[in-house]
Amino acid sequence: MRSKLLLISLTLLFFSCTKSIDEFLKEQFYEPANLSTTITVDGDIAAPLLNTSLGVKNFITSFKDSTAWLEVDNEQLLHLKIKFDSIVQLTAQEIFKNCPIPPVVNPDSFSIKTDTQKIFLYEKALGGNVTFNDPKLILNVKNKIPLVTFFKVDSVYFRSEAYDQTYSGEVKKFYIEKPNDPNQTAYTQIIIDKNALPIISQLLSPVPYKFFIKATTGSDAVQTYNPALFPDICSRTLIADLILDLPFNLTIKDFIMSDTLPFSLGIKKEDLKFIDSVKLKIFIENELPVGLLINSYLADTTPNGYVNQSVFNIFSNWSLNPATVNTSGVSISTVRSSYIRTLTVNEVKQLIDKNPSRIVLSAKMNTTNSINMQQVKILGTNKLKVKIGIKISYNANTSQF
Amino acid sequence: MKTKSFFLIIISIIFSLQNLLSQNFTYYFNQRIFASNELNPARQHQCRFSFGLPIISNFYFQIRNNSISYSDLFTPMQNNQDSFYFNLDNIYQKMPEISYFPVQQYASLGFLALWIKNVYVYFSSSLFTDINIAIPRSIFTIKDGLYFENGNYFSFNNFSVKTYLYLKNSFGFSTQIYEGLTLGFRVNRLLGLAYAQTKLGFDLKISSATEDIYDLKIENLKYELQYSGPLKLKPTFDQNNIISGIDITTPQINEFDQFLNSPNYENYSALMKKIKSFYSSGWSIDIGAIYKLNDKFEFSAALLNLGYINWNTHPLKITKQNGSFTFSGFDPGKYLGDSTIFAIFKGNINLQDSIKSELLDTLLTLVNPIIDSTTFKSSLNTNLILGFGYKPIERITLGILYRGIFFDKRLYSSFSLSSTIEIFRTWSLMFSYNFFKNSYNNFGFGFSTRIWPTQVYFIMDNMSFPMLASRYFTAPNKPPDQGIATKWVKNTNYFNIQFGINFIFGCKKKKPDFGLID
Repeated sequence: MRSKLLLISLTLLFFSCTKSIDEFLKEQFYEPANLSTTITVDGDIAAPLLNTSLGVKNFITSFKDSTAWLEVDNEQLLHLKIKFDSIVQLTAQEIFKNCPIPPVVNPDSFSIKTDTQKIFLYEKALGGNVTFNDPKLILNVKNKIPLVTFFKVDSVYFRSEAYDQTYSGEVKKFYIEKPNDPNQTAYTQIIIDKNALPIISQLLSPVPYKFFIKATTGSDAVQTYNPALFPDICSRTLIADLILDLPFNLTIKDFIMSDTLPFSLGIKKEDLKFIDSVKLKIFIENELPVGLLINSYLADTTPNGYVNQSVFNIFSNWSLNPATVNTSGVSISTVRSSYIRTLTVNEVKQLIDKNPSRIVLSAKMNTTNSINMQQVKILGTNKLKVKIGIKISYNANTSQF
Repeated sequence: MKTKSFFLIIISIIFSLQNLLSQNFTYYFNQRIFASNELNPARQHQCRFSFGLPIISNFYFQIRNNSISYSDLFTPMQNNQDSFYFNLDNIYQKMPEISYFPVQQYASLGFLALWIKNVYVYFSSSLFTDINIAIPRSIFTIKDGLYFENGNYFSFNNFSVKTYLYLKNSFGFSTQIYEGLTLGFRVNRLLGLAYAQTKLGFDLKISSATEDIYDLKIENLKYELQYSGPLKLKPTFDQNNIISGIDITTPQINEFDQFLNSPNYENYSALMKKIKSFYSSGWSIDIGAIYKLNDKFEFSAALLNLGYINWNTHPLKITKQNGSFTFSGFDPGKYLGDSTIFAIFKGNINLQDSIKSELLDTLLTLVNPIIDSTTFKSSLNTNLILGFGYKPIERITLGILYRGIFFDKRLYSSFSLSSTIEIFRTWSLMFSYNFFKNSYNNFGFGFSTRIWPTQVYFIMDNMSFPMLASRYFTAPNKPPDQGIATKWVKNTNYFNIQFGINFIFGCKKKKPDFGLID
């Protein structure tokens, strides 16, 4: 009886309640519905980004109309070789200034010059000297003209923004092969080193952005040919490729490079909403006996696209110190340079407002002990060890998501 | 009479709405309930014969944590008390070093109890499920970042998730060996059905040395995955012998179809053998003693779950100890060869795949564990129970109970004060106050009643939810900050429930005894 009464009472009570359970629970447990901000967190995270070793070969870019590459010789010394194809490309008619060419040619010399627009080196050099110990101009001559037998460098012209120099002097006459057969191309390699051209060590001091060569070709003796065998004599060619062999046994003194590149920050203010500051650490251990003094800044531009003014300093006379060398100029110990920079989010936001569109880089390069003109050797084994780490201080509120 | 009935109805309604939470201390001294025998094998039911059906005879569920409650999660704003926020610092301060979140459940699959002369004998079978998650407090320090200038570091240790499922078949007996002293003994055959445990710990250090670039170190890496169960897990390896995945094979029971098609002894044996391969075996014993000094005083003690399971069903243990790893930044130089760094920017060289592959190889080497497929043992959580009962008058029993549980190599203690009151002839009410570390608001209640031929009981150690239910029915519009019900629920971190319907016979003979007599 009591049990039945209990059951009936339960049922009556259950159905008599006018408020739903869900509504009741929401009223009693109102905190989740009244959360104004959820979670605020602030702190730091940090991580290493880069820890790598790079050699010189990882920095050499290609040159205009040329191919550049690095070689390591038996002594591990690095050589920068730059090839310029067809700096001389002349027909017999252009050499002899005449067509048809008689079958018997008296000994004579004919002036030629290399293509003035081909041999570009580095157009961003603003000054400074690079003195190589034993550079070489290697000419690979491909001769199809049976009438020319020598090649002589008369003068070398160097052009740059800083200067316009000419070096001339007696250069050894090089004798070249000639073809005996119309199908034959006679190859001759001419190496112009400091024995042939004593001033060659100073040719790149200061570094020019381009140069060309005035030369003479011809023959010292009477030359004959069979017109029936060489009916196309006028169009036969003399071609010379140039390889500039620059061994990195050198002195670099106050070599200044400068460049301006397009730049875009690539971030918006909204990307920074959780960030308080960013700290960047760069450590470089330099095994190369070459140091840099770097200046760099971000700039805006005028409506015409010209660099206007600096809006943010990146590097201000920052030194990448060269390695220590022995008396032979070989690196014996690394030298560490560091760059530590903290940027607050406000600084970055101000920078975004200034809309930088160019990055200006300028660097002055010196080898170790360049003040005393000591020559150093850059070996293939020398490395630049670069380490970069980043720390981000954040302050985030989940209502910002 | 009407007032009494109405009062009963209300209380019944209130407490019948308990659908979660309670602890099983409340009925320890109530030998009317067969389940009290679970806590002390010397506890004897007065009825001559009783049995229980699967599930309905005894169902128990418990969930709790030793950490925080609902109200700890929400902190009122200083300027506006009606608005709240997650105060992680506050939550962190309130949490212990390790927060445990155990969930336990067991269901009776039936029991049979009877008196044979002076010996109380019983057989029972139950299915146990145990899940426990342990979370170190240090996980909250992530809110402060992972980098610290003062040499501190992020330490994540003692994280674990453990779950197991087993069947417990028991045979027990108890008898009075001399005046006042009753001893009980129970032997349990355990059939382990599934076991899985995973553990993880490591220290993450980011160098704050001025001359470093925030080198990242993982030290003291340790993890463990332990499993035994009907599924077969088999690690797979790549060409470098580094673990690359786990194959899972589900069991096939072709023997069942074979037996159905041809029910002979051979097929039957094969089927039994197959079934046996699905569980692991173990044993445990329970010992209990009750000493009644006189009609008023009782001392009791019990040692429960002294045993283990030998997990041999597809056992697998994957462990790694003292792993370490240092990351100092990416090294594109070793992938460049003779190429320039500008080739990366131009897209001529794709470093992403190389770096991903290297990172993956490093991580796999770091985590490359020891694989072990040998049988392993797991111990049950042994319980020690000490009780003292006092009966000032015939219908009232007061008790003090201590319970110590050995868990994860530590002893966790709890205490309980209880009282059992007989009202009418067939009803008993039980009240308790249970407390342990970080949880002091557990007021329990239970009742049992006899509706022939059954006995029904309902118990929980924390009445907060029924109190909330009573508010729903009696004062649904009352503001939440008034009264105790809502506040109580918000400050509770410990809930359980136990109920059952048993069939009992031969209880009419009145016999002076401790507890309540039908």
